[in-house]
Amino acid sequence: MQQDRHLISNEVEILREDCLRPTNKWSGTTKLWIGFLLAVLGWGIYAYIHQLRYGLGVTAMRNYVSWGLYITTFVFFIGISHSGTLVSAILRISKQEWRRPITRSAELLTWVSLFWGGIMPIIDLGRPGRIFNIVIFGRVQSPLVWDVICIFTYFIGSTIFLFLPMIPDMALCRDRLKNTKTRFYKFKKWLYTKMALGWQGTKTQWHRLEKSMTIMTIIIIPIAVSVHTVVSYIFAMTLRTGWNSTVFGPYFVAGALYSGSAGVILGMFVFRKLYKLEKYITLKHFDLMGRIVLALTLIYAYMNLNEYWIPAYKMATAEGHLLRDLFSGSYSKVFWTLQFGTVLLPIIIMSFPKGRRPNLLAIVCVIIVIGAWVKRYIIIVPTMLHPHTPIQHVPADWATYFPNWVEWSVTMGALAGMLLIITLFSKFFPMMAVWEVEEGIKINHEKEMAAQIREKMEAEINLQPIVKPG
Amino acid sequence: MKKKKIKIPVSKTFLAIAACLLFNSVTAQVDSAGQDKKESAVELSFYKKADLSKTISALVTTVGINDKWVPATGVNINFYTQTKSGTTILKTVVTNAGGIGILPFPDSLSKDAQGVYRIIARLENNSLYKDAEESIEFKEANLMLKFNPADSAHEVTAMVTETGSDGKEIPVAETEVSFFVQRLFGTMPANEDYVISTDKDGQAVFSYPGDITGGRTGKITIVAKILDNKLFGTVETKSDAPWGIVVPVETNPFPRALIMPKAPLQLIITLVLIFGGIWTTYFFIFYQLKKINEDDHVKKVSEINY
Repeated sequence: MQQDRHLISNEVEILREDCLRPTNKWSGTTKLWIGFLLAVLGWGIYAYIHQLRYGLGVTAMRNYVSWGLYITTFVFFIGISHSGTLVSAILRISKQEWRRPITRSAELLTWVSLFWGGIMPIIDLGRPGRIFNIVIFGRVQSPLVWDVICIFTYFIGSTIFLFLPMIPDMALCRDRLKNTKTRFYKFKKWLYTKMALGWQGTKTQWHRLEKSMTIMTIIIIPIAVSVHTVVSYIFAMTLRTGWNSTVFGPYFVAGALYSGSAGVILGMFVFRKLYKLEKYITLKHFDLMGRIVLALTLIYAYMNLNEYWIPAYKMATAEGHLLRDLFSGSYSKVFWTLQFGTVLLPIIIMSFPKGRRPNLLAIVCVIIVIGAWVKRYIIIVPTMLHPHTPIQHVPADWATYFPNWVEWSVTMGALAGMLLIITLFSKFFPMMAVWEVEEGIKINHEKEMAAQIREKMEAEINLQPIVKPG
Repeated sequence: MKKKKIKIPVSKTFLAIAACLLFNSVTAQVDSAGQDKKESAVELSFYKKADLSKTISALVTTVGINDKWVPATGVNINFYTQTKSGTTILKTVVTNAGGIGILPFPDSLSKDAQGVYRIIARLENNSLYKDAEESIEFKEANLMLKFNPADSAHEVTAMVTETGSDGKEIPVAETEVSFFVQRLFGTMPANEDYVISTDKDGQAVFSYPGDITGGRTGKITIVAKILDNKLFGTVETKSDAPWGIVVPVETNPFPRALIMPKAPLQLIITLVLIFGGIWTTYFFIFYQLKKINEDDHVKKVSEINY
């Protein structure tokens, strides 16, 4: 028993070292990477200032395509934000022990993508100051108002959901931060002390934390589902070809879970490699996450079929024009590449155990994430180019759309901003919930010990001679 | 034979060139000032309103982009009256955004023995536009409305007269009178054949249709107009008649509905309950965090001792 305890404390110590090591090291590559991200973000800010100064006319958006790359990216980010809900909340509520090392990165991905997702519609406004008009003059009946309320509520919920399991880890960071030569020592000391909320690991504190986490785990799931449902309402509640669909809510939620879980796998893959966490994020994690993504891709494929097959069967006038454009017209190459390349191909690859090994699975997830982004573009832009009233007597370039340098720069800036926050986060905070993984280690040991005792007892019972009565 | 070199001082050469350039630029400016003036035109009209106020309007137009005629804004227009004794200036008026300069009809304006007024409008000595002039001659007509007896079903008679030299009203025949109904943003023709010519007695009889809506009182305003007549300009009169269909006022024109300004109560209640519940939970969590912060003095009992 004593030996077991010693073993556990050794293992825990190694875990703590492994998790906190990246927060103390700033390699040259990290600095270069941060510099690159800052440069891209700076360029994006420059492009945005240019847009603010000269108006939305500097983008490729015109009267017909008034939602272009920005809204595409907004929907994409909101989709990615479902990762935390799925991996953290759903796996937590279903008591999946293997979730422990990956919940932090999933929750972080949720928070960051929501942050940037919320900014994108503001960027899409010619006069961003008018965003307050939705609060001042917003109509309760408007899906736009619901969207703002839902996203804000989800953002606050995600912040709490990310923060709660960080409290014990912040205390760990605080207590272990002894070396004054550590980079940003003073800032870190202040940050960890504030964020630890005076955590001492008392029974009452644990009780309060666990209660709060249980409540948040339950409540965050419907909120997340509502957010993407309401995002879909922005489209589905307008009378537009291609959007006038009753399955848009579940379709968007399925798409969000599919892309979000792929995003989590990418995060797992990158941090496992970078921070040498192979011991904790194992092949089993990739296999199980691969299975989840496979299941979600199948659901998404089924939703896709419903979304296109039913109107394609009827080919009603306006819908027919749009679908012809998608199936055999100017968007057909992109459309079919999406269907086969980012839905069917991942299903085939992930169906085999080898397809769920880290490297191949990461490639598949990259394809899925890019595909999810392009899919949003395909949902938004072709529909806007097929209004019910025909496009006529307008300049020729109004009838087409492809994002120009301003939109690309701003969008890439947002993406860089997202990666920058994730990078900085990983340099200040452990990317795994240390206490949760420790708890997992202890549970595993307890299980092993129980199994050993059971085996011993069974062996003793088997050794006793069977005495027949009489 | 050796050529003899002629020496010209450099300073004098520069002076000569500078003088030439200056002269050229001055003459060019003068020429261009004359050539750059835009073509312009003036149109005059006389308008006698229903309240018997009278105006003379001058519309000034000029050549704009793509050779299209556009209103000239902020231009001075001189109005003159022409009598036997000569031309007398009445007033200078500045055109508005629509290129129209309006001259209130002067009470002292003199007319000839036939009762004809002669007005001239001139755009003159303008730095941007070429001079333009227009003159009109008009008489003053009187337009009156008379409702026919009650059994004549919405019939109205418009009478056009002019005042003779002896002060008597003389009926004016063969003058077109148009009949309208006043609506919120202008006048609407009363029916398809809304233009009637006056007979020898100067009368134009018109029957108003019975299906015109008249608000909560059923009262409609009938408008009769002589439009752009060569002799009388535009003359207008109006009168109220109880011929409209009474439209009951909706007590609640905007009931709570999804498409109305006010949301249905069910929706509001649902949203308040859902989001109220969520935010209450958030506040409960914040309270728990506060309590965690306050619990730090309690002795550690946890197994995981951070």
